[in-house]
Amino acid sequence: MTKAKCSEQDKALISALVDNEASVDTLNLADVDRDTLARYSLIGNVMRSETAPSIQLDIAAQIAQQLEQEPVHAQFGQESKSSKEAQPQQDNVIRGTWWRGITQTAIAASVAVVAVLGVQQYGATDNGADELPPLQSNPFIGAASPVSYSSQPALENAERGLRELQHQRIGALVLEHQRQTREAAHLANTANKDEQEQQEQ
Amino acid sequence: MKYLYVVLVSLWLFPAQAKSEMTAKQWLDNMATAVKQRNFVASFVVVKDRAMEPYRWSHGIYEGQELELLTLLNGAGLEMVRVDDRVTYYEPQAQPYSVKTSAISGPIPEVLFGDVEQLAQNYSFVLGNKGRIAGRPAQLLRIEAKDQDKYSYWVWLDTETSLLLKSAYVNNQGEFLEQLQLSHINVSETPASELLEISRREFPAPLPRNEEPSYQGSWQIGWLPQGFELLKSDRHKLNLNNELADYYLYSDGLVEVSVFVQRPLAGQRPSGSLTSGATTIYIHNAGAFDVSVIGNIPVATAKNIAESVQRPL
Repeated sequence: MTKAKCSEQDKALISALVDNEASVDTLNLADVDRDTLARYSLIGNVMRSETAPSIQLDIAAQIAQQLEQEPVHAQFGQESKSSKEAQPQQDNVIRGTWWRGITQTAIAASVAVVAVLGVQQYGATDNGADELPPLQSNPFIGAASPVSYSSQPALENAERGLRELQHQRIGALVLEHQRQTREAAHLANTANKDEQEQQEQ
Repeated sequence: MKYLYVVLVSLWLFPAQAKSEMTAKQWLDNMATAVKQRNFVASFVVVKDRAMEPYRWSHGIYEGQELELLTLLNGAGLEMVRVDDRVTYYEPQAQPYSVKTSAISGPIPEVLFGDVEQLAQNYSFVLGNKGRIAGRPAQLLRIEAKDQDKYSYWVWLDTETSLLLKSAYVNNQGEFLEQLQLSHINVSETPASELLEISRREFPAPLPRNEEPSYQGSWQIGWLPQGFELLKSDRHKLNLNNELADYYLYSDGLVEVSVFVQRPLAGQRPSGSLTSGATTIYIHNAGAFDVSVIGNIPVATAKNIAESVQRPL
């Protein structure tokens, strides 16, 4: 089914499906327009605050660019550099061969683990929650209408940009920890073997 | 004649005692063996605070090869495949990669599939109550941390097959932080068909082992909980956002802890923590640098580690 043929009725059905208001049986999945489904589930994810750092990269770059012009927050010049560097990385992500064809929606959902982490008790320590920046639960709204940034006070923009960068960094750290612990498995094994060999000698 | 009595009585008693007086350590060893020898298909969920992750887990022996498949069922997917001593990870955000190891690094600590003896210095093994889990008679084994700086790990095993039925990270108040619970397990004579497909699959070659001495970061990490040892340290760019970090990985055999030292983000950001189930992320703003600690450890422990990091003298 092409996009042109995707009627309002189909859209309503897809919407219901994504919102879990209709079961898969009522809708023949083969007939579903894939683009529409992907777009609707992304909207769903955003509304349920499941957006991921991979999407936020764009926002960070935009914010950073704006902040470059703010003399007060001159340090952000560096941030914009790192964010720009991050762009090709994102391309990489999408280019991955094994998952070719999976849209950004899929990536968003996969990193939802990180997003879930992001919205939980920031500040379970004795520092108290109020001392900590509350993590934003709907950052994607900003990206949908970037114009709104320019109409907001610069300071607020800066704070928001910072939160994004921190959010993004936390996501990156969590994934890195996961990857390192997986790769470290053989390190642990060799360390034990070395010890055993030493004991045997 | 007296001796004969003693021998007869002890012979009669011994088999009965063998099962009832199995130590916690023996139970855990039995599980490690059972998990590697049985053909089974299981479903389990991991519950972390308000989040939940459902997995499908299958294992079997086919043509002399050990095959294991662990799949995350929600989201875009995460697939972990083990063939003998090679584990391959398939994720949406990265190229698939293989690691040469005999256990999948997933929601269950790998040490449980190996030799738990290496935990004996920092944890004690305690035999718990019997109960019923996932419709099966179960025995609780507690791997109790010997100090307050770590979480304990509780394991419930099937009394018949010694397979894992439930496990949990427990803090020192006895609260369950992250639970893994099987909802279904099917032990069969032959391996599941999905495993046969794996045996025909092509895998990326295992990552080259880094033999050259790794970069020794010069940061001084002043405090670590008892029993944690350095596995590796280097300086590398993070996969997701390309930020540079000095990296340290520690392990006590049960859990791993990552320490990242990075250029600080701009602005006045207070230090703070995030938790999800047993996982703690503590971000410490030390002024000239940021320290982030991640691992399945209590918040206080992560905070102490992060605050102990100092610039080299």
